[in-house]
This record gives sequence, C-alpha cells and structure tokens, in this order.
Amino acid sequence: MTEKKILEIIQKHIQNRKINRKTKLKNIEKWDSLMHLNIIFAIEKVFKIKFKISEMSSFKNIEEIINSVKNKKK
Amino acid sequence: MNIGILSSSFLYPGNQAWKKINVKKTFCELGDYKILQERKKFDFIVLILFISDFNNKEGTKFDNFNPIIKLLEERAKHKNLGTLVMVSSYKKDNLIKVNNNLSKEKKIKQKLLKKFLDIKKKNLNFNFSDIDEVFSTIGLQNAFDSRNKYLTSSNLSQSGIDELSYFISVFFTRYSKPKSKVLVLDCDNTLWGGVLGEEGINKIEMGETQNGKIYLDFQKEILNLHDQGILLAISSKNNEKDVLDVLNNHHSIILKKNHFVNFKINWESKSKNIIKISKELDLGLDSFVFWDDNPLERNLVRKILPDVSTVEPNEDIVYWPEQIASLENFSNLSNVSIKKDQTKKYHARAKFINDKDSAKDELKYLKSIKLRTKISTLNKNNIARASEMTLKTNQYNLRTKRYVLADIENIIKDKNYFGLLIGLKDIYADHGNVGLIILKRINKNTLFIDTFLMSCRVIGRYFETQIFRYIKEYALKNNYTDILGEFIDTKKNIVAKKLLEKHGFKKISRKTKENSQMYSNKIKNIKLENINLYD
Repeated sequence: MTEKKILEIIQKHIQNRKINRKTKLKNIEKWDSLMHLNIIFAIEKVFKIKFKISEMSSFKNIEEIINSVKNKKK
Repeated sequence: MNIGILSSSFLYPGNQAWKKINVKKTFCELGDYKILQERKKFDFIVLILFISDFNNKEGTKFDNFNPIIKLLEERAKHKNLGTLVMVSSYKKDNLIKVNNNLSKEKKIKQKLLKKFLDIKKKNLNFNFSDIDEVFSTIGLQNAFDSRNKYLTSSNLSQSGIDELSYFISVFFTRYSKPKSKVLVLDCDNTLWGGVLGEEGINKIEMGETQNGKIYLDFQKEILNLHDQGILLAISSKNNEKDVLDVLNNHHSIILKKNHFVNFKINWESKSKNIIKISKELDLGLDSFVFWDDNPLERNLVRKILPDVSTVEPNEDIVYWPEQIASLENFSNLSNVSIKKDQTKKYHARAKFINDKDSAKDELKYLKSIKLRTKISTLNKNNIARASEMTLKTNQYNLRTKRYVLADIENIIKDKNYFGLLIGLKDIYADHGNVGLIILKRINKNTLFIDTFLMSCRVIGRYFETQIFRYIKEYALKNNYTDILGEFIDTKKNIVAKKLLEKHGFKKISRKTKENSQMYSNKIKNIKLENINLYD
C-alpha cells in the first residue's frame, strides 16, 4: 500500500510510469534537486510524516524512501 | 493573462501545489525586483515578500524596502499593469507577545501595509495582502518549516506553499470574473424555515428556535452583502401578499421590504422571473447569483440560464451563513468599484418601471438619471454597428430597411445621404450606440427619413425625441424646410406606429405600398417634448 502510493506520487511528478522500487534516483531523467524536494514534500503531506534533514538528502533510490516512510508509520 | 511570480524566498516552482493557479505563470528569479519595471513581459506580477529575508548586516530595516516601494509606485501608475503584493512578517520566535511589544518584522509589516494602502487608494490595479492572515487558517507555524531554510533559501513548508497557491488561484478567479451584483433569493426554507403558504406567518421558523436562529444569521449575512452594495431580489412561488406581510410585519425578520430592489412573487418559473428582474434592472444575467434550497429549481435555472451563478447550498443549513458570506461571486477584488447607495438608485428605477403612469414622477426620475447622448456621423469605424442595427432591430424601426455592410458603405459615399449613430448613457449604464438615423435628400427643400430605429432597451426615455432634435438641427443648418417620413407596418414594429405623429407629422395620402403610411412635416414644426431631459 505504502509502496504503491509512493510510486504513484513519484510517477505523477516525473510524468513517467517506468519506475519501480529499485530505481535509482539519479537515473530518473527528470530528477533534480528541486524535483527531489517537491516529491519529498508531497510524500510527507500524504503520509503526514516529517523526514530528518539529513535523511532528505541521503535517499539514493526509491526503496530507501519507502523504507523510511514505513519506519515512520510504525 | 500572463503573470510573473516574484519573491524574496524560494517558492519551489514545479511543486504540485502551483497547478491550482489556472493562468499562465512564470517564476521570476529570486529577488529580481527590477522586473517590476518591465512593462511588456507580464501583465500581472505577484510579489511575495518575507520580511525576515531582508536581514542584512545591519539587521532588518524599513529602509531596505524603499527601492521596492518606489518600483511598486511606478508600476501602479500604469493602468494596464496589475500587481498583487503579499507580505509576511513571520519569524520563528516567541509568538506570545503582550502589550503591543511587536517584533521588528511585524512593525515593518504594518508600515508596509500602510504604504500599500496609500498606493491602492490611487491605483485600482494594485492589490495587497497580509499573507500571515492567510497562513493563520492553518496555524502560522505550520506554514513554515525550519528544515527548508537550510535546504533551500526558503522557510516555507509544503502547507505554506499550498496556502499561497490557493490564495493566488482564488485571487485570479475573482480578479478575472466580473463581479456579481444581484443576489436572487427564494423564501420558503431559504429566508425562513417552513412553507409560508401552509404554516402561516406565525409558524414559519425565524427567530427563537434553533433553526430559526440560523435563518436569522443567514439573513444577517445577506444584509451585510446588501450594505456592501449587492442588490437583493426575491423570486418565490408564493402569494405576494403573504410574503410582503412577513417582510413588513414579522417580529424577528432582519431583511425588510426596502432591502430588496425587486420582487417576483408568483407561480411563474424562476428562470422567467430572473430574466424579468434582469431586464428591469438592466443588468446582464452574468451578474446574477441565485440561491434556492430546492434542487429542482436550481437545476432548472442552471439549465435554462447558465450565465446565472446558481449556488449549491450546503446540505446542512448551519453552514449557510458562512457560505453566503464567503461566496466568491461578490468579492471586492475586481477593478470595478461599487457604490453603496445602489439599492436606492435601483429602487427609483424599479418604481419608474412599475408605475409609469404618474407622468410627473417619471420626468423627475428621468431627469435624475442624467441621460446623456453621444452622436457620431456614420464613418468607417462604426458602419459595422450601423449595419448590425438595421439587420437586427425589428420593433422600434420605422421602415425596417435592412442594410448589409456594403450598403452602408455606399450610403457614406453618397452625398444625398446623411447618417447618424446615437449613443446613450445614464447613471446605470453606458448603453452604447442604440439609435440610428439615415436621412435622404429629396430636393433642396426636402428631406426624407430613410431609416429611424432605436434599441428597445431604451424605450421610455424620450430618446426618440432627442433623435428628432438632431434631425431638426441638421435640417435647419442645411436650409431644409420640409421633411417626409414613412411607417411601414411589419406587424413587429407597432411600438413605432405613432412615432411620427407624436413629433408633429401629418398623414398624407401618398402610398408606396399596401402596408405603408406616408407623413410630412415642416422642419420648424417638428415637436420636441420634454427635451430638456437631455440638457
């Protein structure tokens, strides 16, 4: 559920459906630091959570984001 | 519209929140205030200032804003350039302050807002807002996020961006839409609870009961709109006598008879009634808002009169007072300023329409609405309108001659013809060009009225007599002594049948065809009654 929703949010931002949990952020064509923040904000809003500032800049792939969200929701 | 969004903080372009704003928008570079000078790039600039961003080595000072104020003042002078300035004084500190011990940022904000008000007073195209008020709906601290200051150069949180974007989008929907002017209300289960016709004046809910109080609060908000210059009207399926009895005599009622400019209390359809109100007030349907508790009535009006904004009232009446108070249609944002004594003016007008027989009042009234004409001889720039009028005017038209554009072009070139377009203005509206005459020279003494027509909207203002005044002036100036006129009966133009006789013309026996009646008159005998209305 969490994973599906996060993927949806990212797909909506990058307007590309070809991603999965293993996708590396730097390999996503439209990904840049601004997009990164906007996506993080959108995820925070949907799950009503807050990432630590150190976490925000450390995400390397989608799976790390999913795991972090899952941890916070526990 | 092409808007530029300019801010002292980073606004996260590309954030989904900005999609709410439905106009073409560009995010300008951070703090690039020079863009305010540009007159071609954007027709509208939204400037968002966070006072704490102006914190240089010497701290935050009001003087830091002087260059921006200067640019804004300059910009506001150009009427076609719009501006919306939003200011925030938020600073993460102890928000609980007593005894007017305001933060430096807040003091600066107050000074800025005062300055902006001065600009606003002189320039309607300038707008400003205290964003902290906007943010207060979500809790000021939720609009900001300390993390972001270190990630980007902005304190805004996602919720803050959401609120900003929401505010700006509402601003532009209101800004681009003409402001509504009339609120048409139902009565039963709208102004009060229950059905008046069945329950009677003493049983309807308005006053002490729980629901009764809500209806009263609803009325209070409507009264508030009235005081802001919104016109109120009633369209209700009821006996007129019963409703007026409630408006005049109910012990709790807040909205009295004189708060309304127009009543249509009958068993006709609401759409018919709204059309009638629109005609009587001479206001287009797009300036009407309709409120009715009955979904059937609402849907009918939506379907038949899509231009009218039909409100979908909340299912629970407890929310009605706040809903009507916050209707976007009546917002004060648009560039048209309204006057507070509207209802009085329209009352006078409604009175005029309702009892036209009292001639003395009529003239007095007509004098008070300051009728003014504007004449223009036919020329290249107005032939389109002239041709359109000949093609469309069926009622107040002496001969119903139809002229396509090319015909009018020929008329302009022909020295035997003289044409005049007559515009009309009064305190309610500029009606535009609503009268047209084309005169034809028969011989050196005699003129013939080839075309005499006017729009039906302006009947009852002696406008036709004013037109004859222009005919008379023209004829005398050019040494004509006689004038011929003809009425061609098309069955649709009965309203113009007596026009010539009214102005002193006599029937003559000459006939061009079966349904025609010719008239003649001496120029000096053209009768001009009550013409001082136009002086």
